[in-house]
Amino acid sequence: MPGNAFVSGKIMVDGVNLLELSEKEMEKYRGTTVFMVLQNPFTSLNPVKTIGYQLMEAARIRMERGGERYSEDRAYEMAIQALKDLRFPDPEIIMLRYPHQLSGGQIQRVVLAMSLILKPKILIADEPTSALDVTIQAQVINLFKQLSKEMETAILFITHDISLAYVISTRLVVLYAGRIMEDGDIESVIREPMHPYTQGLIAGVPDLSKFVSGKVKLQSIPGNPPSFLDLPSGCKFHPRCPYVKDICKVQEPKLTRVNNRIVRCWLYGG
Amino acid sequence: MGMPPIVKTVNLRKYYLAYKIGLLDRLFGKKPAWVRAVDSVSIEIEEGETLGLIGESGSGKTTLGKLLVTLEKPDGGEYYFMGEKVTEDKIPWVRQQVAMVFQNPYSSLNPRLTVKEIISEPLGHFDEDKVREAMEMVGLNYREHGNKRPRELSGGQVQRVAIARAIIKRPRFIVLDEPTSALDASLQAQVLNLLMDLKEQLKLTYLFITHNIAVAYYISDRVAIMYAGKVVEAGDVDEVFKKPMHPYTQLLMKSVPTIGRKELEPPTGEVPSLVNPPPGCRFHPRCPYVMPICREKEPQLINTSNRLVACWLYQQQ
Ligand SMILES: Nc1ncnc2c1ncn2[C@@H]1O[C@H](COP(=O)(O)OP(=O)(O)OP(=O)(O)O)[C@@H](O)[C@H]1O
Ligand code: SF4
Ligand code: SF4
Ligand SMILES: [Mg+2]
Repeated sequence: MPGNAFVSGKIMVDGVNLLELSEKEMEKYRGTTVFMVLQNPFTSLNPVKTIGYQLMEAARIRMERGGERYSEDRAYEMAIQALKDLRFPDPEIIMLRYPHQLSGGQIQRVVLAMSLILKPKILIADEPTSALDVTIQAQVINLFKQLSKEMETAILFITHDISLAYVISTRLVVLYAGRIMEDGDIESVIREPMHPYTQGLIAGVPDLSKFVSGKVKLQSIPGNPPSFLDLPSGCKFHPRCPYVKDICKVQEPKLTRVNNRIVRCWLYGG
Repeated sequence: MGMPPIVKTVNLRKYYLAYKIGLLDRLFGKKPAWVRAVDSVSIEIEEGETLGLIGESGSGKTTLGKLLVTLEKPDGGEYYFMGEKVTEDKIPWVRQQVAMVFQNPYSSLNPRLTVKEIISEPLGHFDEDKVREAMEMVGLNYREHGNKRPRELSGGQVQRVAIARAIIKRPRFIVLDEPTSALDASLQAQVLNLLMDLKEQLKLTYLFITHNIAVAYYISDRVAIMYAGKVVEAGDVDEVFKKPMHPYTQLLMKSVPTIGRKELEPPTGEVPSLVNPPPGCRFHPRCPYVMPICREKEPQLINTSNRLVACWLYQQQ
């Protein structure tokens, strides 16, 4: 995190507040407890070390945390297996390469391979398939599903692709301007989005089932997402909302439970 | 005779060294291994059209894009731009008329420069009127955004800067390498609409690289599908998506996540090596229709009923 960032509140993992840990104690949690796959995977890899070196380093951490003695052969095997799981042909050759010698999607898959080796309790994945074609994306998604089932890894999957969110998740949380706008079971949120922003998002998805001849303009939510330096008053979505009311401009609605859904909008009582 | 295609390649090739070979390796007789990133690709792009380029990760799409804007030099084959064969001395002339927009704008634009410096850079000198005009065309404000640096802008705005930079020299042909894959759905729609408007206004030709099938459908007139360094199918976008002919394209369509279908069925089997590609058809180890000839002889990309397909199912053996 950049030095000028500021966090308040608590981050609880297994009953421990991560924000209260010292840097040294935190080290024990990084990697095997929480691992993050960043949206720009380039920054997660060391540009001057080979892929093999970096994956074997992850294997070493995994073994040591698991109380196993480090074995180079075993680490090599783990790295090769993870690359194979991520559909790399020629994994032995990939091990010898440097990050700049890989394609965009290959870099992303190397970072995902690292997460497979580390097997964290919590995996935070920010747009982890944004550079992958749909066939490999589908394989990665199936791999993640398996990881969450077999290793009981909890996955926080951050994406702008609602169809993809639908395929991988059981629960959907929609954020706007740093706030939770809607939270509920995936099936019900997709079928009946309650928050106007969620409704706009779903309408903006170019949908293959709408194959029609003659090109139509995609529906897009008018306006731009707000700048965090200059957030609008009241409901943060109000400048772009088709249902805006007077109260929306002055007072921010609170999260309210409506049946099995949590939503932040004056249309539902606020 | 009509106009020649703006871009035409004949058996274009680009091989990368698979890994560095040290002096010692060479002494011990280790041979260099090559990644066949682009392997004998022949495509044509007509003036004014958008060709969508789809394909597996690592199949050579970015490399092909870089070859067309002369950021990479081919190792074989020919490249014709506006009917002229591109030789070493023609490269400056081609560069005047082409541009490329990369997938990740934050890493492809110089973070130390201001927006107006980034946009004017391709001109070689600063021209306020031109920068202002380009910024307006992409929906940016010269006074508001001109002096900012990339990290002070949102993802959508940075991508607009990259697009303004691409159009400043009024090119004829632009390679867009996954220009919207880092944007959220509402911004993606805005940027796609912007690209369509610019194309019309400036009479541009696009090669649009994407792995998002829906985006490809929305933006392209024709699509080409790449697999393991080769183009395996190309044709009118409606026809290809409604009735994909190549078995790989068919599987691609089944892997698209859609709301309402929880399980995905990606193709099984090994992804082919580009260092040692499988003999014959490169898709044969994963193809559900594989025949004996597929393992031996490589099918050529041929024209069948208005479609280019490289598959033995559609040709005389
Ligand atoms: N500098 C390099 N040295 C060695 N191999 C390279 C280099 N650049 C690319 N490659 C290899 O060439 C092949 C094609 O890469 P390219 O970037 O064109 O793929 P792509 O189709 O754009 O993939 P993606 O969808 O993942 O971006 C890949 O196997 C890649 O590893
Ligand atoms: S609170 Fe008001 S402005 Fe905000 S989303 Fe609901 S209706 Fe729209
Ligand atoms: S040539 Fe043979 S193996 Fe290749 S795609 Fe066609 S049927 Fe399948
Ligand atoms: Mg690429």
